[in-house]
Amino acid sequence: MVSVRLSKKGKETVRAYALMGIPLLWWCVFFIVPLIMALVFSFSDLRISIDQISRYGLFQYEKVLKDDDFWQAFSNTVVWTLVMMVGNNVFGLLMAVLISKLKHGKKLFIGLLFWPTLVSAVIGSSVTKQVMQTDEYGLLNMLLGAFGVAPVAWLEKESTALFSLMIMPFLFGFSIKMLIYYSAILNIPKQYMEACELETDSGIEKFVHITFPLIRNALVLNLLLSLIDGLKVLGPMQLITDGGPDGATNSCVLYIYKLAFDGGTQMGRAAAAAFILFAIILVVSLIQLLITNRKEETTYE
Amino acid sequence: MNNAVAKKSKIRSKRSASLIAVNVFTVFILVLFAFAQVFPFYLQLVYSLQPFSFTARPGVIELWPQSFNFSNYAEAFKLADFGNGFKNTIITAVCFTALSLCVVLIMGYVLGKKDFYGKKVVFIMLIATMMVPGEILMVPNYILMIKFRMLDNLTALILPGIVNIFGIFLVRQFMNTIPDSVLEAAEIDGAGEIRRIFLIVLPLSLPIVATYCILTFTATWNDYLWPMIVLRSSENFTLQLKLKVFSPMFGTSRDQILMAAGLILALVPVVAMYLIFQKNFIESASVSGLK
Repeated sequence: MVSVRLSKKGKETVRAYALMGIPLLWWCVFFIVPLIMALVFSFSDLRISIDQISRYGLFQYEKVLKDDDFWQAFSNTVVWTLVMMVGNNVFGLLMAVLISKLKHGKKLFIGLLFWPTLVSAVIGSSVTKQVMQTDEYGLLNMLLGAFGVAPVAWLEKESTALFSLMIMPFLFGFSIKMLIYYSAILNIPKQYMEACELETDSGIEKFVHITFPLIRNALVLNLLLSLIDGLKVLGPMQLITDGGPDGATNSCVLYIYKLAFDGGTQMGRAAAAAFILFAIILVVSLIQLLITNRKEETTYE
Repeated sequence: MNNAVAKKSKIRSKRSASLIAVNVFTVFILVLFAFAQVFPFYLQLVYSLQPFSFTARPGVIELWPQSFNFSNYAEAFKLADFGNGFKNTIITAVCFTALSLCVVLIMGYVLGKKDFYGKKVVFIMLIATMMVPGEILMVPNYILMIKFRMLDNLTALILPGIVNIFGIFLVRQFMNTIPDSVLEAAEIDGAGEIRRIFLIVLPLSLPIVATYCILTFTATWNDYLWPMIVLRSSENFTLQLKLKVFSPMFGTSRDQILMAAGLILALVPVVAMYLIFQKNFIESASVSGLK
């Protein structure tokens, strides 16, 4: 028998791949293969079964890009994303700064303000529905009624539907952002603050000159996360209004979902729409990273 | 001299007065937000306990139930078939967390502790795929599930995603804290790779394992989109799907009360877990954000 002599690194290589073999194979089957399938499907007229594909081409991309429903879903998604980026980051940062100023009870308030992160999309949507509905259980209409405002059918009107879905995530979706800002604030070296306190008493000045520049990384990260999450929004739109009335609360992912599932049979077109969304997310994230990086350079000049 | 001291203490007291004012304001804002977050859920809790004879008066927010009807929960539990829902969700969440933890540990260990040919290629390939949104895989994975005959089966929720790239990087980063000497000692003692991973690496990386398990378990528990796509028959539904399709149709306030009871029932396990593991939850979340 011929024995093969291996160097130490060679032996390690054999062992490493032996260990990673099954996971990597698994990953190929459930990630790489589907990814390639999706790409192929997006150029095909796949409806429900693979056997029925009859032609390939760019037509699905063309169909999606010429579809008014897609652009309506896209503009809704952009509005949603911008609103959540602003709301969740402003409230998240505000709460983090306020909590860091407390002498006692920091943990209590972090705990109290963080728990909504664990509320699932289904439960959250069900509560939003309750708050926004028209009948005698609708909290918002009740509160407004106290000021003499007549009940509004928030979720049923095209002009208010998207806005109604936003209220709760806008006000209460900040928990995870708050935590990221809070850990960043905790990491600011104490000396910086003390040095600044010699110069000024103003909390606002301290925030502008010390806190804010030093939590920039957290800000960049949070903005990027809200951007990506926002562009992939689905839950509230699907669970509360199902995209209606008349597409007023459609979102990109809901558009994709409805093409392929939920009675839809355009799987090829759904794949094409998913790749368009992917491209948008990629480009927008890169642009955002470029902008934030350029700002960083100017601050250090 | 005295004058100066008096002036100083005056400034100090002025300062502390304004500090107190700022503090009161801070606490007020925080309490306001904490309250506003809890309030809609509190109202659900009140509804869920009302007697079926209860009718909401227009414009009146009921802050306390007329009487405590805990039997509402039993009825909602039965009507919504939460028994099966809990069972399916627990099976899915536990199996998925356990299986993916094994994969993540092995991969994290190999990528973090081993020096081998092609490491960079494997590494970059895995990182690059983290960019791809899961929505792209919805259609092809659904078709794969049909081909593998896994449709309408809990295995469709458990098996496809167990190679969790984010988890692999989480564990890999932690590997630096495990000294090579410990692993070498085990090798000299004749422990095989798998034994080394589960007897040495696992106990030494408990903090990151706890973090990973908490993040994965809650994410699986709360997921609804993929289960909705692949599950068909109602006895296979997870808790979230059971809650989603739950609509009692008595046509009276009883519907509202039972819906509220169902919602509270679905929320209780997560809140209970949060109360027990609060510290870990908060640590996990900050880790996941600052990866």
